Amino acid sequence: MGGLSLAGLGIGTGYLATVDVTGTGARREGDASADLTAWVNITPDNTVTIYVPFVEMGQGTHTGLAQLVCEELGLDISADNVRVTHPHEEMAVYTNWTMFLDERPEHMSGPMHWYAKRFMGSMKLSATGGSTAMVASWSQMRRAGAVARHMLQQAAMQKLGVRSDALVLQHAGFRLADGSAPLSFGDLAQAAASLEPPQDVDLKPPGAFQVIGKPVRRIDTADKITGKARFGIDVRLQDGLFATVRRPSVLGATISSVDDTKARSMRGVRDVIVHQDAVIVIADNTWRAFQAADALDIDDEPPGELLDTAQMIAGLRAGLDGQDLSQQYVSGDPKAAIASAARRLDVEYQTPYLAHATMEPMNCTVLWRQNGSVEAWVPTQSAAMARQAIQSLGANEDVRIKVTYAGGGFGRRAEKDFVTYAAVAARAHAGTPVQLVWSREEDMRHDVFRPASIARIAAGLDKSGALTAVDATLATHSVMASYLARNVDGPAGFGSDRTTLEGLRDMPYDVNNRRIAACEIETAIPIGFWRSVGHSNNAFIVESLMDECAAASGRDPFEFRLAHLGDRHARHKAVLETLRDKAGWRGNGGDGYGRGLALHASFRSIVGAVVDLRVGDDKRIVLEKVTAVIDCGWVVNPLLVEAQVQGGMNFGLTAACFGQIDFAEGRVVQDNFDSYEMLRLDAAPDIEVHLIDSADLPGGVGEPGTPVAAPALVNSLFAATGERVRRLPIATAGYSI
Amino acid sequence: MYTLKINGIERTFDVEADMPLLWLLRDEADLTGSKFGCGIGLCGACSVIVDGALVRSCIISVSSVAGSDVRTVEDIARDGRLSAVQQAWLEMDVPQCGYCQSGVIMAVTALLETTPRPTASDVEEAISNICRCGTYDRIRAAIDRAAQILAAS
Ligand code: FES
Ligand code: FES
Repeated sequence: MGGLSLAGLGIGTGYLATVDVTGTGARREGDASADLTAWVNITPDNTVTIYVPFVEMGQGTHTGLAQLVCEELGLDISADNVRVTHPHEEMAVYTNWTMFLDERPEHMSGPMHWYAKRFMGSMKLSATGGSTAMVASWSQMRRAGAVARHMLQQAAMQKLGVRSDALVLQHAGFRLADGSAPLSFGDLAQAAASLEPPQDVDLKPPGAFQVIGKPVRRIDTADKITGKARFGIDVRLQDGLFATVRRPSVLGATISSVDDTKARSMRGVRDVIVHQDAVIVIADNTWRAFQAADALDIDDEPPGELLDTAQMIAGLRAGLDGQDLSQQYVSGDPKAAIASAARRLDVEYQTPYLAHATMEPMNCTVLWRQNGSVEAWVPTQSAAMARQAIQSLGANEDVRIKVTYAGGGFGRRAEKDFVTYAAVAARAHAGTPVQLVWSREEDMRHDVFRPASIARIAAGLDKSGALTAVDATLATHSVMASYLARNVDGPAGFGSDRTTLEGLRDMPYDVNNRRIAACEIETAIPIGFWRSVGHSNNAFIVESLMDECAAASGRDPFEFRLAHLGDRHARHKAVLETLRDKAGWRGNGGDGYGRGLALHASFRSIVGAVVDLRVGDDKRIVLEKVTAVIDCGWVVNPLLVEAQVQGGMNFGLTAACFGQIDFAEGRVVQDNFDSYEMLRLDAAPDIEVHLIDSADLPGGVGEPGTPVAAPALVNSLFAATGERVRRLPIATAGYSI
Repeated sequence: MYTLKINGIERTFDVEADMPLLWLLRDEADLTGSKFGCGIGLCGACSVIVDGALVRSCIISVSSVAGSDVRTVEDIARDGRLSAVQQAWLEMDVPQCGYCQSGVIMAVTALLETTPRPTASDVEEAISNICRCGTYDRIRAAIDRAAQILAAS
């Protein structure tokens, strides 16, 4: 996004200069409370509220980011008077520039970033995705804490007539060095809010950290174990109605007529609305809405072409055969290097479409007032997307999005569909709040899917067994193209989709001759962001290939990878070496017992994992253990990192073992947990996580645990059985768990 | 009209005989701690304890539990004190998104009531809930811890 396109939009620098991109200003709401920066609110009773502008969907972001503020503000995060919530209003400064500009805030400078930050800020683009919350907030929220502390300290100095060195910071207050004159933040906040915020503040040096880096327990656990936590689906408002949506099960079908006579006659049913390709049933109880939706007689007009998995896969293969490329990156001379290689490998890897299956089905609650202003309670990864969806339905400017806890997101909640249907229902019943909940079947059939892929690869090894060439073409669908077409009105250019080849194009191994290409095949299947996005396919491809090459040259898989990592990849090497050590690696097994490894960098972190498993004669697998090592830079909270690596791994293992969405006669075949299985406690391995001690800037942790799971699993299967599984899920090769 | 004792309080509801208990709890009784995950008894998010036995409330009708004693996650803490299972959950930092955890806590509560010192295979058999966030390691650790707390009390 450069200055040119901004000029084209007629937005001048004069206006942009007024967009607040620092958030350090203070604000009083009468005597009731004071905001000291956009992240801290203090009330006279000394309740300190920390605003975290990222949705809490399991990743622990409300805890991890609050730690940053607590560190600088001297707060005990577990104290009763410290609260952490999503902010109640959208602000320019909550824009996730890191995600949209793919850059760390610490590295943003120059006119391009000046423009881009303000332009995006003017649209208030908060968003949770790409494992960016900590990366985006690391400096910003520590600075917020420091600015608030500075202002409170100034207020205390004025009140007591002392110099700063006479004051001692304690939890949510100051006292004099002799212990006298305690002043709470609540006593000081009003005065502090009328002071000028400092331009520059000193942040604590890492050596002085007392909260960052500590195993701080999550702030949301107490509410989540007592049933008090309110997810989107738990929002309850006075006289609220309950609704559901039903769309033709044939994707792309249009509705020609609906007979709702029976549905309307059922108990509690208030309304049936047809909106484009959806029928919305409104009732006084969710189950009654579900029942009535079952009773609808929907006549639909199927699209010209019915989706079918075999055809989709054939389409990908045709793309490979025709080399109809949309992206290509070449270095060296891969063709010549492969032709002259001592040994050549030709392989094809295939991955399926996948659903998100967030534990909390899609839902949204909307109150559309008679005057066109709207309040919406949304478990969303993008408040901006929710707001735009509602505004495009005719709401006025006053649309307030309350971001609730989300029962999982994994990319699914970056969409606007679930907001749209709820808003349509609420618009028809202005003045009455309506909560619209999708059935699990609807959630799965009308998901946006992780794209399938086929990679066709030729690799060359020289006499010494070194990898000299990789020629890889990946046929898949562009996530970006599908996402933007579905969610953003008007043209939205993005150049080429950098997620398609992420992790493949930039594979860390030294290979002098390489061609990495993509054919992104257009499809009617809705394609979406799925935990770790392109990496979820590409780590499987790269790390399976490395394992095959190691085996072909008779080398140990650790040693083979280490030999192909140059000095630029010292961190990758350290992860591998630590992993070899922690896993107690002594070869990769055999005779039904297997150990396999994978290494992959994504979202500014590096993860290595070894899977230990046993395979019985009937191809039944017991996953015994996973040993994982992560280098995610500075560890803000080891408990959260461990949990995310374990969770990410189980997510990846679930997909690798069972995950597959099929299309037949235009419909999604799998529609609940019987046909779309999940790893459960009885089969889930023990996952041991080791963290690399690092002083680098923090990386993401929500997604990097996922990509390594599948390749470590198939590499381990190979070690155990000698069978190389090149197609996921492993169930297609007859393995069960 | 159906009368049930929910978390110790007798309440009467005018609902259909075949309304699943889950939707009576969530939409009629305003107890949203029990969650909707699948609606067909496969995920365990809706688990509650009826007359001492663990049930998946999405597939049990109101008429079949009339007159019964229903306990939900809202009533596991007593007099402001967390149960042993909840204490263990807090100590082990189990929940991620937390959506499945009400159901898991109910399942573990029921398990420990009959089997206070469960073996690993007891646990594997009894806890078949889906946790999409993959918190299984900590669930296992927290079950051990809860058993310890119970044994000590
Ligand atoms: S919602 Fe009852 S078992 Fe899934
Ligand atoms: S904690 Fe999210 S589904 Fe279990």
